[in-house]
Amino acid sequence: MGINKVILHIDLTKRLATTKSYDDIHKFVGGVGFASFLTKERLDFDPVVFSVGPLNGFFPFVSKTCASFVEDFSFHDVYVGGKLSTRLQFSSFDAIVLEGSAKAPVVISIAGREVNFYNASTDPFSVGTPGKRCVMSVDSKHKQFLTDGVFAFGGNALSEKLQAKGVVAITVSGTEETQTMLNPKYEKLYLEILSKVKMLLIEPSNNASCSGCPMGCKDSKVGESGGDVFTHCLVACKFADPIYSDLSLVFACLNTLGYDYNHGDLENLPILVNSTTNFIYEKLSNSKLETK
Amino acid sequence: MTRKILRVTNPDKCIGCELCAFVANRLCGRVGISGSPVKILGKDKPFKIHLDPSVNDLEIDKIAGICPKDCFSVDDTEDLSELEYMLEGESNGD
Repeated sequence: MGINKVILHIDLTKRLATTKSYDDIHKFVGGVGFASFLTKERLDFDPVVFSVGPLNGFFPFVSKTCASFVEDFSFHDVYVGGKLSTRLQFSSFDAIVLEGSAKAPVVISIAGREVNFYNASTDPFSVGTPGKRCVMSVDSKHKQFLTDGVFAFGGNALSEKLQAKGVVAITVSGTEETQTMLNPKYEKLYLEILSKVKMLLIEPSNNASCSGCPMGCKDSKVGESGGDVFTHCLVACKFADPIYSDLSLVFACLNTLGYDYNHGDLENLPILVNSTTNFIYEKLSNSKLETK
Repeated sequence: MTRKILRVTNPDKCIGCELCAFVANRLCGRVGISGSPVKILGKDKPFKIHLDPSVNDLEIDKIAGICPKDCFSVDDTEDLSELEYMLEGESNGD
């Protein structure tokens, strides 16, 4: 289950969507791991990557989505809450890669295996599947890229990047379902993690919450940037670091879902991701010198 | 004959975490939101909670119990027409 990762590549210039699987992506686990791998692979196409991890939608507090891009000769990774992580997890894809730039501003809908392109005047909340969709759109007033008009990615750079690429909005509908929960260990582990709510580094409140998190915390609408690489490969919330920094627990979660990672894979993950981002920085640095 | 039914008693408290939708789907043998008999509609508060009548065939105590804001209650009813359709408000276009 979920071992064969499917990546959706969208060529904005040609308005063309294709899927691809990569043999080596598995060891990057997800989130910023996938983002670093895919950015390295597609660096020449100026990629913007949206990615989730293997636990999003399956376990509590794993509620963020990673967005990565290259700007000013640097690799950036930012994180958003809301419903996007579960919608992307239960779409047909493990990551979305936007490449090139649109010739005219575009609204994109991703639902099941279907990708549609609409002109910029289309209301993104009118496409996709109601109740199962999440809409990412540019909020020009606040210069932010928001999900469902509410939840922000960290910083303004992603918004500027997507506007430069001609992307007005992206709707992701989570129309897929998985039958894995028939494993009784899964339910037990889910409830065990949910019971660790007091370990979270933030107090519960009454704000709109991220999908799969019961906190409704004061920072739910605030994006994240930077932080722990391992947590960001799972794309868990930073406030859940005390829970998901427990390698044994994460190993159990992955094992329950049928992943074949071993402890060594997880222990080496930050080194792998850091070496990949370092490679990207080096390549960008060389191109900067060539530009000069 | 009485039967237990799930009611939405505090919809205004819903924070949209969807734990109820996920647990209902797990009780159906699925993971995800697709096909769940409980749906949370809306982009921000106030969210709308939509119950499919088939939810009452499930262990509804588990659905009510997982809500962090006590939006649900489990009541006994003799009026089986209550099982037909329960919709709290309209979608506000999620």
